[in-house]
Amino acid sequence: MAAAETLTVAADLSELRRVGIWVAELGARLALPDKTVFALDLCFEEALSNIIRHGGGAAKAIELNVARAADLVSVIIADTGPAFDPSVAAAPLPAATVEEAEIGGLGIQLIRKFATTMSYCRRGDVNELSLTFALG
Amino acid sequence: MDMAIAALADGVSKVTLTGRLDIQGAEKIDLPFSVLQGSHRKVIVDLAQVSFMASMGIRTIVLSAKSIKSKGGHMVLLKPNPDVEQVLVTSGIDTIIPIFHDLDAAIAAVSA
Repeated sequence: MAAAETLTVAADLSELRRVGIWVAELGARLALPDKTVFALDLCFEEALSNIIRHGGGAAKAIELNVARAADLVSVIIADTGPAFDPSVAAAPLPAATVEEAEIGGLGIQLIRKFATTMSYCRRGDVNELSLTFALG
Repeated sequence: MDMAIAALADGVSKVTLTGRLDIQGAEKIDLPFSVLQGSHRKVIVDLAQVSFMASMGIRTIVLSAKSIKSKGGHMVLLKPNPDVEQVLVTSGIDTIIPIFHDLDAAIAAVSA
């Protein structure tokens, strides 16, 4: 039996702090390992800041859904911004020196690395990004 | 996010960050870091008390390292926790801004 938790936030960067606090609280409620709480925290920060900064103001609210099963945490992030599939976005090329380092573009790469799986679908006018995090 | 600067021997500065280096944390240290870049050439950024880091925090660190490097200086990172270190390594930052877990090694690197 999975325990599910939902949070709806406005598409505004000032909401990210509230998301961070919510992740810490649900980590305790769902008895998640610290490593998983960190990964959730990071993936929410990166996914939400992308939606808010690049969504052109079309995303009014963002819904976060977290469900815990025995060996897995499943996350769905839903927004009404323009269709965007981060699961196929190209990763930035690694820089060899400080001078060459490109700023930005790292967020999706971090999600890809810290989540166990990542998938996307467009349902009507809603973007749904699904992530899973293996436990243990 | 708090930031404190300590002057070590031979012109080495140790910047200690405490808290979450998320979007809000990065905004809070952007200005003090720009001030620091103007006057410090050997900079060690102590991350031991940083509990969380995301891409906007990395942006602040890379911009500072670029600025210090362009003035002939060096910046290194010290003692990130394992989660923060994984964020840095995943981002490829460790290959362009060295990470140390020992203060003496960090001092030697910025003094080179």
